Amino acid sequence: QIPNISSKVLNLTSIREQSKRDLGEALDSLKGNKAFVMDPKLMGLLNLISDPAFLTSHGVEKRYELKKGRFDTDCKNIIYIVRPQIKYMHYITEHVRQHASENKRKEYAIVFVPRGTILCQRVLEEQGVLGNFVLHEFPLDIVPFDEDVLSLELSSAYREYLLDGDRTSLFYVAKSLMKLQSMFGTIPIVKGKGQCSRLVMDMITRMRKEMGEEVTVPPEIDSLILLDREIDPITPMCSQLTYEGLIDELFGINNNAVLLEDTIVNPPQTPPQSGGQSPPQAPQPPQPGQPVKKVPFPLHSNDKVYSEIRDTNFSVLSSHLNKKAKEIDEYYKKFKTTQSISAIRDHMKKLASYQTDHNSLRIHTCITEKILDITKSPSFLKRLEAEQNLLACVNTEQVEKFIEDSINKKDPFYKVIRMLILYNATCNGLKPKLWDFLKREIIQTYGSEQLITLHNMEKLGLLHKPDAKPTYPQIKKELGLIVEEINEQNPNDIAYTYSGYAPMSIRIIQNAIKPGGWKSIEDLLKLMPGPTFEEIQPLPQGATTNVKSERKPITLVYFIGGVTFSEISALRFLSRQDQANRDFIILTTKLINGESMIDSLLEQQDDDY
Amino acid sequence: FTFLYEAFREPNFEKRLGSFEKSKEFFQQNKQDKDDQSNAQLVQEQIKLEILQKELENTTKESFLGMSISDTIYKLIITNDSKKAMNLKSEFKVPDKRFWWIKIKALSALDKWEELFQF
Repeated sequence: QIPNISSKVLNLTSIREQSKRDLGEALDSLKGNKAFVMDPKLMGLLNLISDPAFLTSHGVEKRYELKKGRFDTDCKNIIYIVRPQIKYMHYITEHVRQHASENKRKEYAIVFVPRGTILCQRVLEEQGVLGNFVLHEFPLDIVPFDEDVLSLELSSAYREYLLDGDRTSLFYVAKSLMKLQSMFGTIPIVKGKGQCSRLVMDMITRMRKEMGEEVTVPPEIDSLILLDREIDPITPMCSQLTYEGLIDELFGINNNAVLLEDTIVNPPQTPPQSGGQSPPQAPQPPQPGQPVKKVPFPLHSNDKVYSEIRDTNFSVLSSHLNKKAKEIDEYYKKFKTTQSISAIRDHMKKLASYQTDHNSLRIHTCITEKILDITKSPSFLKRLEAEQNLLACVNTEQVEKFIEDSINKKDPFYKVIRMLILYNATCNGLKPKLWDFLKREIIQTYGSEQLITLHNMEKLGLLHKPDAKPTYPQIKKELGLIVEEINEQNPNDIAYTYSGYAPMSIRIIQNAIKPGGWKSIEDLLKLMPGPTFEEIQPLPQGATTNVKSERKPITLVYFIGGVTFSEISALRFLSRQDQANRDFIILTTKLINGESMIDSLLEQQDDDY
Repeated sequence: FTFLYEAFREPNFEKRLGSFEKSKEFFQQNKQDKDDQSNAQLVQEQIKLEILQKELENTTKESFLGMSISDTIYKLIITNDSKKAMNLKSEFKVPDKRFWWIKIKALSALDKWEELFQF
């Protein structure tokens, strides 16, 4: 499950090691064997930094998911690990009362991630149970997801600041950067765009001043680009068309894993050991009425087959898989004709790795099959056509019809909103007449609770009235967002990730790393919300620039408010290209897609209780 | 919007309507703002809808509260009450196009293919 992340450009293992140490400390806050009760939202994350063996070595006897209602365990010690949410305090209080009334003596501890709040303490105090707990904090912030991807996994960061004016998440963002700088050195050049980025930059500057003496680590990261999601709301609203992006859009990737039917991951028959590739066994049709058992399947770059195809456009998937299959087949065939003992020995050495590849190829073929089934469907193609029309600013009346039909059919609400936001961003807002009409249609179809959702969207500027002057056509033209001739097989531009549309956020980054930096697109950036800045952080004394000449410079890109898998693919594409001549490390508050982004903006009715 | 927020969280029917009224009045105060005027109208429709749904619940013993207008129409067609569905359509000025979609969906769910052909 845990990806190996030691290789490549930056040694991220140390981040994980520190988190592991911190977790160990938190677990040791209660002596002896214990029950470990986890916030369901943290479970996947904890799996990314520790394995069951590690937990056992710290006395964890049993693991549970924190739920409302009764909680029974034989363990005398109970450790809760939670995000500081009030509803959890109520669940836990209930448990304590239940155990007390049943005369069970237990020891309790609560570990807050990343830190406790006064509000949570107050709730425990009011309930009269605060004294029962040992309180501890586990400052988990940066979680490595892959060799080049890090995330804080704070899903509400964007909403908290822009909608509620709450700066807590931005503080965590600044903290995470301070942590990175303490490990990999002060980052000399910082560029940023957007109000959140500006605030984070100010916080870092202040934190550095307050710290005074700094550790003198030679800087390993050459520059940092901070980018608000607000700058480019367009890209996440488009359907991602890379393999990894599509898996996320269609099945959902959470904490580096996708849930697949058990029959795909663990086929009933043992896979053939030799004799070439066999066609993937069709999964057994599930028994009606019986829920299909789903198991998580890890997706990261340690899977060699996956790392080769994750960033490719879906239209070339089949040929890639085919090539890989032939390669494995060749290997097995050669095995059969091998004669000499030494040749067999050489072969056996590689056998294990080929078998791993073989198995992963089988699973990815199954996933691809499923994806292609969906991408062939008329509803998918129609949606794609509508998106591409909007991006190119053609046939927009047709898209208006599409949205209307979509509401009439009562498509999932987030799909409607997604298209509407895209329409709004590319067609210079919503004309009052159209908006009044669509609003009524939406309210009458999805219920008037959505009035609040729509209001939130307006407040965030995702839906608005027409501006005096449309900005999108100019941005589109000057950044070259639409690329007509695109070669998906051998991509020559990042636009391959969306079959012809180059993600705006990545185009901005492309410009930022040019020698002139922001200057070349200065006027264009003025059209986008929030301030633009470019600063030099003075290095602490004694820290010499020690960038090894044989290594490409590293740029850290921080997406505040989330990043999609396709955008990551586009950045990887730039890393691989010679002209960029640098490696990118991606850090974000959350890995998102259009759906989860809208989700975080929806009114959560029962969040606190 | 605070009133509206409260209204959706309020389980008690009478109090819920009260909160809706308050939020409607609040919207209406803003005479210049066209958006708020249309919001007021939408809230007014919600009040009307919930009262209607309450009546429906009393007469049919089915649950209706909390459903959107489209869903209410759908349920009425499913439970063979096309007349009330038509009433609702005109009451809330549901466009023909959407109404047909709902009707087609409902009739095909009922396997009433003959009726579907007829219209």
